Amino acid sequence: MKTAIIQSRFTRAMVGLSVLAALTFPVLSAAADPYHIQTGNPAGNYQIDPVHSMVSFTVGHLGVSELVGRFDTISGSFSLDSADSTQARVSVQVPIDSLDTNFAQRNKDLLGPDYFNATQFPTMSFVSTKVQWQSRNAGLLTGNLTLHGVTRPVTFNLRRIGAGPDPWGGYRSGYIATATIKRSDFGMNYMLNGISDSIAVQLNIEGKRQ
Amino acid sequence: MNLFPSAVMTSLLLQTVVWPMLVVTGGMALGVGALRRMLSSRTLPLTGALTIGTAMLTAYYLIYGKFTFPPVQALDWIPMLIAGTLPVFAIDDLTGFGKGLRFGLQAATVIVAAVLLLQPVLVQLRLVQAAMILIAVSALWLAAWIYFDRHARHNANSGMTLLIVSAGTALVSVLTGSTLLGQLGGALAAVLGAWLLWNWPRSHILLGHAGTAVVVMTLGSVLLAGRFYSAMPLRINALLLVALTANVPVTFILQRYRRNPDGPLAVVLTGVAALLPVALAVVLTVLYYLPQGDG
Repeated sequence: MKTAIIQSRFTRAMVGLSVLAALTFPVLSAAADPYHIQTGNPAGNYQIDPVHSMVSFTVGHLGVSELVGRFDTISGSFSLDSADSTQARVSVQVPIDSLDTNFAQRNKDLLGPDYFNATQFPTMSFVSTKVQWQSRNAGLLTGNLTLHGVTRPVTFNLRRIGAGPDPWGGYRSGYIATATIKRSDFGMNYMLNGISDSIAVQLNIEGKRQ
Repeated sequence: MNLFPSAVMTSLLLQTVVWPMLVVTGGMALGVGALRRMLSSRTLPLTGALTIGTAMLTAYYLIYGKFTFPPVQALDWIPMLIAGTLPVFAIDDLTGFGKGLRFGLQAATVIVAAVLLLQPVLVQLRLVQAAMILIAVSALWLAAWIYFDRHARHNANSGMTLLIVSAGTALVSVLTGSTLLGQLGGALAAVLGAWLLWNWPRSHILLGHAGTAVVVMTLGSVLLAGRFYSAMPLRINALLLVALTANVPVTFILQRYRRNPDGPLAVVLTGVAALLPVALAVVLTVLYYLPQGDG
């Protein structure tokens, strides 16, 4: 009698576990999925997510190395639908004093009158004027870059990373834009023999669809 | 032993010290040798002023790489201020303005210069705060100018004071984060040094109204830029301003002991007196404001 009861409980427990496993299988299998690029429709207006976006730059130092710096704060919006280039637009604002080169004294030097002069020119901005898609995920982003009180046209190589839903019910897309500018074009002429004139700029943006 | 293995360091020294000193020396040789014979004795201070002005403009161009016109950033105004004040006060040296006219021109110049240099900062402040800063800066600048205009025209003491303060400003600027301002301050010190050396051992040498204008404009601009656009602390700025008054106690003491207040001894003592607050400013900067590392 006692053995029969135990067997019955064991059977019920096994059946219960099997049902639970069957119900949670899709979730468990999804968690085991490798990282993959989302290939959703990128159309729409996006607000830049500042905590998943940044501007970084690489500049030559004394002809012996390349130093990387970044701006930690960024804001703006974009709409980059490769199906309709005429509606494409990108607008980015970067506070200069969010600069970080991993060394406080260098940050201070760069923010001063020798280079960025952040007191007089507290913001760097980019506003697109034209987007030319060369493939579904790559193109040229042209616009006006305002830096150090000077506005000049700059063309970035644009690469779409992906677009798709996020885990919180929203929809996101992300891009990387790269360009090389000359700081002397923006009136930053000081010490061109020690710090390179050419600066590689990279803009990583992730936006949340509005 | 190669003292300057770095091309960058070599060019810094050439831009800041060597070329400005060469321009002063060449300019004085040319001016004293040729112009003085051609014109009247009034051209002697004018020679110094033109030489110092040309040397500072040369130094600015070598250091910053260009003159930007119309100016984009505040520092772009520095060569414009030098080039603008030099001819006005050169006319003063040649014709002798009345005291009222000179004062009026000096006051107008410092107000315009303060507005041009500080406008980007002032527009970020409330009106009352901006007005107070503008008034304080203009008043200090004008007071320094009038003081040096009275003294620098007659003796080398003021030249020595300005040299020491310029050198101190250069050092403090570099330590607090602006090599550019350091170079401009250093160039001014080099220019004054070359001018004093050229005239050595004479202590009655004429900087003239125009020469004083160039020096006061340059030094004032560098000090203002250091305070408002770089990270030069107010107390360090104040110490450098205090150093500008070094020849007041020296003159007082020498007169009290019936010694020549304009002689070579006065020049040396003035230099020492100016060096004390400047040295204190440098020491305080190193102790309290110098971050670690070498950028």
